[in-house]
Amino acid sequence: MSKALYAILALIACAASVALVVLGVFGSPETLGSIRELGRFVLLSTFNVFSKRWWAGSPEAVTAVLWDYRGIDTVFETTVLYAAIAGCVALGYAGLRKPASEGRKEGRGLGEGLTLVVRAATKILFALILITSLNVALHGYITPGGGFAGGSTFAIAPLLIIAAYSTNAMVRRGFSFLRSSALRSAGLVGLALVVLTPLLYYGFVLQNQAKPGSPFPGYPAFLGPLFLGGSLIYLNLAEFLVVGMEFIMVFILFHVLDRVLGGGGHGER
Amino acid sequence: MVSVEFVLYVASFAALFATAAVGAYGVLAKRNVVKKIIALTILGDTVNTVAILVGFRVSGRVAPPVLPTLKPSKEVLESFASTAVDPIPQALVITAIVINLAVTAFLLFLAVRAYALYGTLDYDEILRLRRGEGP
Repeated sequence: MSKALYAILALIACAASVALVVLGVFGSPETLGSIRELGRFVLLSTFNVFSKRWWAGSPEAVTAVLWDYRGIDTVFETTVLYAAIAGCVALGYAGLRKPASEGRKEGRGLGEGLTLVVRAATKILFALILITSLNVALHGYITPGGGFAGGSTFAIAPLLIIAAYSTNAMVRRGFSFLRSSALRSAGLVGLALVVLTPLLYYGFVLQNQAKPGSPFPGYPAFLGPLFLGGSLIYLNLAEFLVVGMEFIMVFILFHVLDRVLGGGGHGER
Repeated sequence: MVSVEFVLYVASFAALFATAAVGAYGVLAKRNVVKKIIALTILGDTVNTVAILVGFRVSGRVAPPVLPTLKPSKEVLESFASTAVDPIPQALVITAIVINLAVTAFLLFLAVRAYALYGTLDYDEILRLRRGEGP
C-alpha cells in the first residue's frame, strides 16, 4: 500500500479518537473540575486516619493505588517485565558467551572510552544518580516516585559508565551480567515474600493494612517515630532492585551484541 | 462561558492525538524496522500522556495526589479529596512506561537478530528474503 493511504488511515484513526474522547471523556465543561468517584474514594481513604477501614497507610495516593488498591495488577505487570527481559536474554544469550572471554583479554575492551573530562563527570554523576534513585525508591510512599521510577533512574548509571568507559570497566566494578541477574532474582523473591506473607496469617494476598474479613493485622505503618507506610516501602525496594537490575542486564546484552555483530559502536557492517 | 483552561485542555488533547497519528503513521508506513520501533515509542508515550490528562481537574484549584502532612485533620482530607488530581491513571501509566521500555528493548533485540540473519533492517526486504526470492 502507498504511504498516502497509510497517512489517511492514521488521520482517520486520529479524528475518530478525538471524537470519541470529546463525546465520552469530557462531559460538559461544568463537570471537568471534579474527578471520577473511584479516584475520589482513593484520595479520601488512602491516608484517612479517622476511619481506617479502607486506608492504605500511605499519603501518596499513586503508590497506594499501585501496590495496595490495584496491587495484583502491578504484580502481573512485573511478570510482563520479567517475560520481556527473559525474551531479550534468550535472544541475546547466543552472542553473550564468546565476547565475554575475549573482552577480558583486551583490558579496557573495544573503544578506549571517552575523554578525561567526560569520565570525571561520569564519576560525579554516578554517585548523584545512585543517591537520587535510592531516594526516589525509598521515599516512594510519601513523595512522588517508587520502585519503577527509582529503578529506571538507577539503570541510567551503568549506561553512563558503558558510554564513558566500556562494558569491561563496568564488569570490573561489579556490575556483571550474572550479578545483576542474581540481584534481580533477589528482588523478585523479596517481592513474593512481601506479597505472600499475609497468607501465613490467613490474610489476603498482597494485603497491606488490616482489612475487614482478614485476621492479618497488616504491616506496621509506624515504627516508633518512624513512618514506614506498611508493605509499600518493602515492595518499592524490591521493585527498585527488579527494574534497575533488569535494565542493566539489557544494556550489557546490547553492548555485547553490538560487538558480536562487528559494529563496535558504528552500527553498519 | 468557556474558560481558558478548558480551551487549553482541548488543545492539548488535539495536539496529543495529532502526535499519536504521527506515531501510527510511522508504525504503518516506515519500512525500516528501527524507525517503526521509534514510532511505536512515540505512540505509546502519547497514549500515556492522554491517560494522565484524562484524570486532570480542569477548573478550580489543582493539587498533586500526595497528602502534604502525616497528621491530617478532617478538613485537610476533605480539601485534599476535592483538589487533588485522579491518582488512578497515574498509577496505570507508571507501570505502562516501564513495560513499554522493556517491550521496546525486546523489539530492538528482535531487530538485532533480524539484522544478523538477513543483513538488512528493511521490512519489505526481509519479507522478500524470507520468501526465498533473493536480493
